[in-house]
Amino acid sequence: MSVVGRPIARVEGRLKVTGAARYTADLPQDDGKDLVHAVAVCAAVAKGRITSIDARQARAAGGVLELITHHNAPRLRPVPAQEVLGPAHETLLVLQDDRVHYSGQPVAVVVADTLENATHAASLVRVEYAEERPVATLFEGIDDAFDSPRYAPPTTIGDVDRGLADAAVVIDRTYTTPAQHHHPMETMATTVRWTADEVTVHVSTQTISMVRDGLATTFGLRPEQVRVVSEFLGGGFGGKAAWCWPSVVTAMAARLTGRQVRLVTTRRQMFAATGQRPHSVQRVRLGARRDGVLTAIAQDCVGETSAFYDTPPFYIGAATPVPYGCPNIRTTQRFVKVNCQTPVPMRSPVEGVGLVSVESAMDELAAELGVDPLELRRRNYAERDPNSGLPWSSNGLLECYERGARRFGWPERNPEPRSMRDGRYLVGWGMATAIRHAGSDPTSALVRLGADGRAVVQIGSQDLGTGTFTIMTQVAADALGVPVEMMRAELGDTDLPTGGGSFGSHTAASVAAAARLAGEALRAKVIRIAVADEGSPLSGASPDDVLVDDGYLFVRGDRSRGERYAQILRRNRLQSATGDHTPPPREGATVARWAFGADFTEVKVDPELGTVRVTRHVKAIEAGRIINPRTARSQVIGGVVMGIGQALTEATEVDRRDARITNAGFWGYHVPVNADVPDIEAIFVERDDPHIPGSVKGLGEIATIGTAPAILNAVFHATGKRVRDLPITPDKLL
Amino acid sequence: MRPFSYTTVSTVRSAVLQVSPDPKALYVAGATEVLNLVREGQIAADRLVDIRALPLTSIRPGAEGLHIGALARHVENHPVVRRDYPVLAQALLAGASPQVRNMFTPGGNLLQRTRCSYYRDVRFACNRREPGSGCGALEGNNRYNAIFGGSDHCIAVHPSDLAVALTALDAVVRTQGPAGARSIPIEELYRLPGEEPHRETVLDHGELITGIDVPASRFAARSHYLKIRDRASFAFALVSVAVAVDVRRGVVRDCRIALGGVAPRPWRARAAEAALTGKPLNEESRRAAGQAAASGATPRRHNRFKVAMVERAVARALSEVGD
Repeated sequence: MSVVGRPIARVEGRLKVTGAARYTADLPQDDGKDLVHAVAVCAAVAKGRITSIDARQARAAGGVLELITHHNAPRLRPVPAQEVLGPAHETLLVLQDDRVHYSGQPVAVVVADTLENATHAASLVRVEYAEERPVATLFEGIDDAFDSPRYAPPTTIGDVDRGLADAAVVIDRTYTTPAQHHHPMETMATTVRWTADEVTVHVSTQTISMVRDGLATTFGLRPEQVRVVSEFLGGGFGGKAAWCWPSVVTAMAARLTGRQVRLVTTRRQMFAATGQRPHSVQRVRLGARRDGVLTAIAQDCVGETSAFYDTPPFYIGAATPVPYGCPNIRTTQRFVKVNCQTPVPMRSPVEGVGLVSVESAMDELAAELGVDPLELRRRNYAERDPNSGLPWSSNGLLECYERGARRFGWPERNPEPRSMRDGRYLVGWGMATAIRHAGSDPTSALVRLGADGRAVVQIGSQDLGTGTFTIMTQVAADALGVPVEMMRAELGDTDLPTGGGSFGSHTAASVAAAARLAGEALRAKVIRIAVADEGSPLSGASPDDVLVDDGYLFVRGDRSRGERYAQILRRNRLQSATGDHTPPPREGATVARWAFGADFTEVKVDPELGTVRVTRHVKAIEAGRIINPRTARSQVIGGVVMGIGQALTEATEVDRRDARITNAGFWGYHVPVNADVPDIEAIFVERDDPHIPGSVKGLGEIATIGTAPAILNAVFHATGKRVRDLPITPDKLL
Repeated sequence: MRPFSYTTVSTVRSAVLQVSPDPKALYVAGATEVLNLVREGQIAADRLVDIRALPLTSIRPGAEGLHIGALARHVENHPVVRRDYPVLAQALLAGASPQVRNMFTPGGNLLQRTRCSYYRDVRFACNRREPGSGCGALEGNNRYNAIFGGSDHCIAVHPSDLAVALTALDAVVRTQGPAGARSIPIEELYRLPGEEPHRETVLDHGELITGIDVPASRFAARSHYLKIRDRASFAFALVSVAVAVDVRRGVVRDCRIALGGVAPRPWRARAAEAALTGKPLNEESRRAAGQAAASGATPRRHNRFKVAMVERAVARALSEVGD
């Protein structure tokens, strides 16, 4: 039986639970005497000019080696964001001039022999500003909202105005979602050594190749002069997907001091270091016939973008045309320049934000029509992708609905709001549809086999903590035909064959495809060597007749005629082979590739005190084939927890007078804690997809999409009160 | 981080002698609060004097009441506390995660600083942290701030759950200062901000809390702590309520109702106590007590919800101690 699809334990699990896994802030450990520490001084105002920086006291403090401001910082070249980093990433050239664009922007960097000395000296830097009035939030700047035809072109399918005019029922609602920050357990950490020959960067990043290319571009180096290493990551959720200032200033400090420099951001600095999910306002109009069949979907979003960056971020309504078969769909988005960091993807940037309003509005429509919310969605199932008009590569959505509903017990739901109780608590059941585009990145793998029969698979991708090491081990072992214990995975080094980013739910599909190609290529190569090797029992056999099982190669029909990989390799040299995965081009596609899911959730609401607890959650997902149900389930649990935070607890609060964040710490920014997390059940509806290598659609995003709107809908069902402003904190239900 | 020296002491006398004359010296015990404040710069200390070795760890229940040493560990697990002073055990459990409870001390807990956003971020104006700099919370994000007891200079709330429970139990704080020992009723320990929000307590510099006495009472055993917050655990109170009632022959003879999360100090709801005393404990009297507790509130733009939350929380807490 193939090891692919089996729930094996994480191959790096022991290293992690014993503390042996070295994360970026632990590195380097070998030559720590050379290591020095950088601490950033961050802007106390959100908009204005720096008028003076008094660094005399700081320079005089113990252990200080260097103090970098815009006066002495190395000059940076702009990084062409669209080409190198995608449109959603920060291009601010830090420490290049006296302008301040957001509170928390680095205005100086202190380098000292110890972290304590650097921290102390940073506190002694006196910066004066000529403060200007900032645009603090989306609402302050909404009158100046602008379109971006290039990055957020309106989607128009059919005739929405007619679809609304023809509708028997129209739902017209506006929802707001707050800015939120990623907050992985591991804050942003970078260590840089800069020599004449090479710049070596240890960094907690979701994309080592982008850091290499970005760093090379901005400092005027060739990419091959830069080596980026990121072996273990303590989460990222999009915040570490690209270029961010902590890595830039660490490289500056390493270049100026000639020392190995480490910078680890504090939790407070994480509120202005790696970007945020943008604050948004989403107006949704749904038109439907009496039987619930949609006649129109219109969504008009306004989202924040930063004040200094002309390229707007992603288009949160981009996937709105996809979930439901509707002839008339229109989406628009406008942007407001706010004195904040440039928004970046946060699991999940499009569907996870833009479908909150659509899925809530669907629930409002169901209530209005007196149709069961699940039945309403079934009646609007899209037979083809409404956006592209293409057939689905595979689509298990209806089975997700069915199996999720059955497992949850959805048919027992009393449709009447406030009708279900458990003692003093109101009980609510809600559901939502989840969809997510399934893609992959160009990725190369190398598999090498030694004379001991052990093999290694290498990819210059990285493991966010989701199980990439484990699944690539499984796939490569299966492709080569060796036991999984004989295969070891290496990731997280730009010296390895180039991989893609660990984001966008692309990683599993990308590394699995490349690992399989490389493993199969090596198997074929060794078979060719064996059949040509007179010392081998396989000598003279047709390569097509050689089978491999558990590291043993034999001739079809005669298991006794064969030998192990190790025996062949002992007579021959170390062997390796590469595999290159090229994703199918999006242009000219003949099918639409998407993952699907359905969330079912139960909440209990204290009707007097306004507190909401999620007490049960079932999530059915069709993401093609699951390589490892154990790591997959773990990923779904994490995604649902993020959805709970999005629905009930997480919001970045900004003072509207000066655009500064007022809850910049875990004491005030509430991520869910264990007591907020119920039993979470993941159901995998598996599908073979002939259009996707290995049928791997990816799980990272679909794991969280759908959860927040399901909770919102459950709160309505429990209380009869529709909250359209996330998160639902107790005060909103009093 | 500002450099500081660190010393340990083994007697109360030497502790007081070391800290009293040095305005930049501070006591430290569990360090769950002081280290954060020193690190982030809300308070400037040149010297931390570690008092964990002092013999102040006892938990002594007796006929006159309960004595809790300033450094007592895991008071919430003591069987007599759980049985005879349930509000105290419940408040401690609601107050922090197990990890924090493994470290913190009761004395330090009473003196923790406000979690007001404008105090915690040194870039904001805050009269409490920096006298005369202004108060960012008055017109800012004041969802968590006070609806009772604030002034035009400060509307911070006191974050301790323990202090709210102790207020409902008429607890007395024992201290040792350079001038000798004092006993301070807990309500008198904290100052209201008035024009001097930076003066948070009546303690002199160097005056050390050595213990807490909870007198025996007829209401302590029938008590309850309710905490409402933005998530299920490990968050500061939006509103909390400590209630303790003495019900005899169906009538409330005596009671204490104290609120947390609503004022610069634990807030004794005397009007609610008066409304309840002499009444049977039923839905009507609980609701009346809730309304009385919320009367006189002066909410700001973002914390108006706390008025209704106080009304309901008081009624709910009273419903937990039975009819």
